[in-house]
Parts: sequence; structure tokens; C-alpha cells
Amino acid sequence: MINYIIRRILWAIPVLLIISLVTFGLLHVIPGGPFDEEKPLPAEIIANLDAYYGLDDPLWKQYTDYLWNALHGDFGPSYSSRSRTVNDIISDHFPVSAQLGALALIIAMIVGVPLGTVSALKQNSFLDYSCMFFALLGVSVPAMTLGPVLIWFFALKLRILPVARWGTLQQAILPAFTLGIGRAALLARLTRASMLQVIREDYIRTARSKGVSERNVTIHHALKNALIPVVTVIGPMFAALVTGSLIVEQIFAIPGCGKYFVTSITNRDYPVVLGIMLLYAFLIIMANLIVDLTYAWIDPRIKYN
Amino acid sequence: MELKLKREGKFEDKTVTSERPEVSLWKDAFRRMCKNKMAVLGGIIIIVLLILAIFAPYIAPYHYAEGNLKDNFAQPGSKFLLGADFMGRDLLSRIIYGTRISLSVGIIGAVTAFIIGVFYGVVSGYYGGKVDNIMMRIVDIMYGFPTLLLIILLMVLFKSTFAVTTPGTFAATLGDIDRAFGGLFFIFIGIGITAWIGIARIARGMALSLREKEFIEAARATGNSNLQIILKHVLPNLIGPCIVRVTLAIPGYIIYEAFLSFIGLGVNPPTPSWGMLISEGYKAMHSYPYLAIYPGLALAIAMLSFNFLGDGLRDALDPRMK
Repeated sequence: MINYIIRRILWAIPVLLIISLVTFGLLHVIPGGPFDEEKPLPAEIIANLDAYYGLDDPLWKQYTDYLWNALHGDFGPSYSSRSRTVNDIISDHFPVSAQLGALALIIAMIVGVPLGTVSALKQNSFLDYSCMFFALLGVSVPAMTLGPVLIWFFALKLRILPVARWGTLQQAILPAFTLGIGRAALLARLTRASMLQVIREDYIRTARSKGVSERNVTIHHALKNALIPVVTVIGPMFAALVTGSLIVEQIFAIPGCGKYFVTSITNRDYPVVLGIMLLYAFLIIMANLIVDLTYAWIDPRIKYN
Repeated sequence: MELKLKREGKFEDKTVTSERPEVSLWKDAFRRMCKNKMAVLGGIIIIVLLILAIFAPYIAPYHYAEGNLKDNFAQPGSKFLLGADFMGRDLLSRIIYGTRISLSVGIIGAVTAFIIGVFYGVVSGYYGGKVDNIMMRIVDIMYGFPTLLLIILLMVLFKSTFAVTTPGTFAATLGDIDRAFGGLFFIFIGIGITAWIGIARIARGMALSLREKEFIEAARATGNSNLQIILKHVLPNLIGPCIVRVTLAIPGYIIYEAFLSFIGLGVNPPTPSWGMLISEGYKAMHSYPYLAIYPGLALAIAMLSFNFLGDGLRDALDPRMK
């Protein structure tokens, strides 16, 4: 088991390396440098800037320098915000994306899991069909539709919530809801399917015949086991929410990493792009690893060698 | 041609024969899907969208680029059924033309993902061993890439590299193709590069398990070559779940394209994409919210119908739910 963990963690290193190499290569194939966009600078100044940032070194040297610094925790300066390093930028913006993702996940769990459970317990009733219909809607309606609709309804028409930006709890409600409702629907379907399977198991029948109250049967016996697939899905879901919050960040003008990524590519801010890309890739890899480990820990029948 | 299967059995000392027609997998699945009202609804909506996309010039009241500035922000009424945008162009017509973009991205994305993914997965799963190892490593690496970020990076790359107009060079020809498509060509490539991975995994898993089954061994024993086995036995068993997975992935492709157009990395204006319509309408949300909401509704309806259809397909092809 320990071997498996170590192997998986070690495997993450070449993956990150290749991702950094591909991103670095793509960035340098894109025409235009970091200093072309603003007011046209005289050639000598551009040459000076290039020399200062090491941009006139051969590409392989730039890459190995970047790797060496990155291994020491220094992800380079930002070319567009000259006074900040990439570490500063990420520590400023990533918590925002993470908070948004966490809030969305909480909404997804609070809405999705009870809905799925109730649907399973009352299978094929009107309640079941309507819950699953709303779940299907939630999965299908994208953030780009839901966002403007929610903004129009709550912010413009009813005027009870602010339109955009980030900072207060009220500002967080609409974007977290937009982001989370799709996942809530997914969790509802997953919980329902899993619960349906668990309820038919023999040990539930045993518990009932032993006289355990229906409520206890549901919560202490059925739900605990039904939630296993749900729990394993939560890790990647969080990673997906954080890395996918790009769309919601654009709609609600939230200063998170995703929005910054797009502007950084346009400004050819190479270190920032690389930094965000590697951070997101790392999150995804770690989330998948934690999921596999949690699965093996919860279900003793699974053995990894 | 319908084969009739004859069954003979004994029932209270009487011999009973019954005949029933042989049903193929697809006929059976189609019959089951027709019973699923949601799937049928999804299918009908998709057909309507297809008709809108193909016959857009005949159905839409105006051309998508024609507009008179003095009509800008006109309210919905008899002249402009859903209102006009900031340049006086009819919103309804633009939404109808936008169907073309979204549907072509969805379908071409699905077809590319299917072809590349199934091919890759089957080769990897069937031949196994080292080949499988290496091919799956590559898939694992691509799986670790944040897809949206990669697509954005690729789109910036394509748009800036191939924007040159010096005639005769390869870059310029690609740029011309792109312009002819209204900016879609590179989106196809971008989505195609990332879309095949999920299908490849499924195809490979199925090929791996099919490889061990006895009928494959029997086929090999009767002298079939590997290629024949793959074509006659492995592929037909794979196709069902792969088609389901691809159909359910189409809304994802549509959303990618819509988002790319939303941030300006998608189709070139004035070609209307729903994402671009939402982005344009968004800027005027405070006074004309319907400009952003109607295209959003179109987007949601398209995604919904593909999800219904995909769900129905999956249930219809699932042998456990007969």
C-alpha cells in the first residue's frame, strides 16, 4: 500500500514536468513578446528588459532556469505587474478561487445529497420524478445561461443581491450558486443511484427485521454506505470546481486565478501562465490521488499493490 | 430479413412451438428509446435545431450581419421579434444562425473524439502489454492537463500565429480556411485535441475485458487475423457505450465553444455564436437583459436535449434495464 502511494506521488512528477514543458513550448510559439502590447518602446529598452528577465537566453536555458527556480519555490516575476512575483499573484488570487470553489461545493452537498436521498427513499413517486427532473435541468443549464438569469432576477429586478465582484457574503451567493447547482444535480443523481442499490442489500433487511427504527436504518446503516461513492467524488469535484470557475469568474467579475489566466496569456506574461497552469494541474493530480486512497481506506475489500 | 427463432418445449405433455422474430441490438435499443419520453423530446428538439441550422437563411427574418444603427437596441416587437442588439441586428436571426456554430462544434467534436478515441483505445486495449502501457501513460499525462486552460492556450496560439496574410505560406492557407469557416476551424482543432481522451479510456477498458472472452479465443482459433477480430467482434461490442459517452459529451463541447466566444477567443465577429451573443448582451444587461437571456436559453435548450438523448440512449442500451 505504501508502495502504491509512493509510486503514485512519484508519477505526478513527470506529469507535471511534461505539462510545464508543453506549456512553455506553446507559450514561446505564440508570436509576440511580453513587452509588445503597451505603448511602443524604443528597441534598446526592449533589449534591456529582455536581458534583465533572461528572455534573450536560448530557450532550453530559459526552461532549465525556470525549472531550477521553481524547484526552489521561486516561480519567477510577473512581466505585466512589474512589482509582483508570481508567488505574490497566486497567493492573492488563488484563495478567491478556492473560496468560490469551496462555497460552491458546500452548496452542492447541502442541496444535492438530501435531494438524492429523499428521491431514492420515495422511488418512482412524484417527488422522485420532479427531483430528478430538476437534477437533469441543473446538469444541463450552463453557468453562462444561469449567471445572467440570476443576475437579472436577483440583482436587477429584486435588487436584493449585488451584481458582481467579490468580498462580502452577499456577493458570494450568486456566483457560488451558479457554480454549485450543476454539481448539486450530479450529487443528487449519484446519491440516489447509490442509495437505491444500498437499500436492497441484505444487511438493511436484517437491520429492519431486528427492529431498528426506519430512521435509524436510513441514517446509520443505509446512508453511511451509500455515501461512499459520493465521498470519493468530492475530491475531484473540488478540483474541477476550482479549475472550472473560470466561466463564473468572467461573468461575475471575480478576481480569481482563472480570470487572471486569460489576461496573462494576452499579455504574454509567461511565468504567471506557467504558474497557474502548474498549480491547477497539481490540484487535479492530487485530488485524483486522494480519491483513490480514500476509496482504498474506506472499502477494505480494495487492495492496491 | 427477419430470422424467426423456433423454440420447442414441453408443457403438460404437449409440445409447444413458438416463433419470435430475432431482434438486433440497435432495433431493440431504438424501440426502448422510443418509449422514453424525455429522450424522444430531446431527439425532436435536436432535429428542430438541425433544421434551423441547415435552413437558417430561409427561416431567419434577417441576415445575421445586416443591421441599421438607428435600430439599435430596438425593443421586441413586430419588426424585431426578440429585439435588436447594439448594432441594430435582429436577435432572433442571430440566434438562429448561431445554431449552426453550436451544432457543428458539437457534432464535429463528437465525431473526432469518437474516431480518434475508439481507434486509440482499441489498439491500446487489444494489443495490451507494452503498447498499452505507453499509450495509457500518454493518456494519463493528458488527463492531468487542465482542459479549459489548455484550450485557451491553444486558441491564443492558433489565432495569433495564423492571422498572417502573406499569401502562399502554409500559415496563410490555414488562416484562410479559418476565415472561411468564420473562425471555427481552429476551435475544431482545439476541441479535437482534448476531446478524445475520455473515449479512449472507455474503449481501452472494454477492449481489455473483451480480449479475454471465449468468443474472441474461438475466433482466433478458427484462423481470424487480429484485424478481422477487431472489426467483427471487438468494435461492434464497443460502439454502444462509446456512442453514449460521446453523446453525453456534446454539451461539453458546445459549452467550450460558447465560453471561448464569450471571452473573445472563439468565432470572429460578425459570425454569431451564442456565447458571443451572451457576451454582447451582457454588456447591456442593466437596460436590456433579454439580449443576454435569450441566447442563454437557446444554449440551455440545446444542451438539455443532448443530455436527454444521451440519457435515453444509455438506458436503452443497458442490458440490465430490460
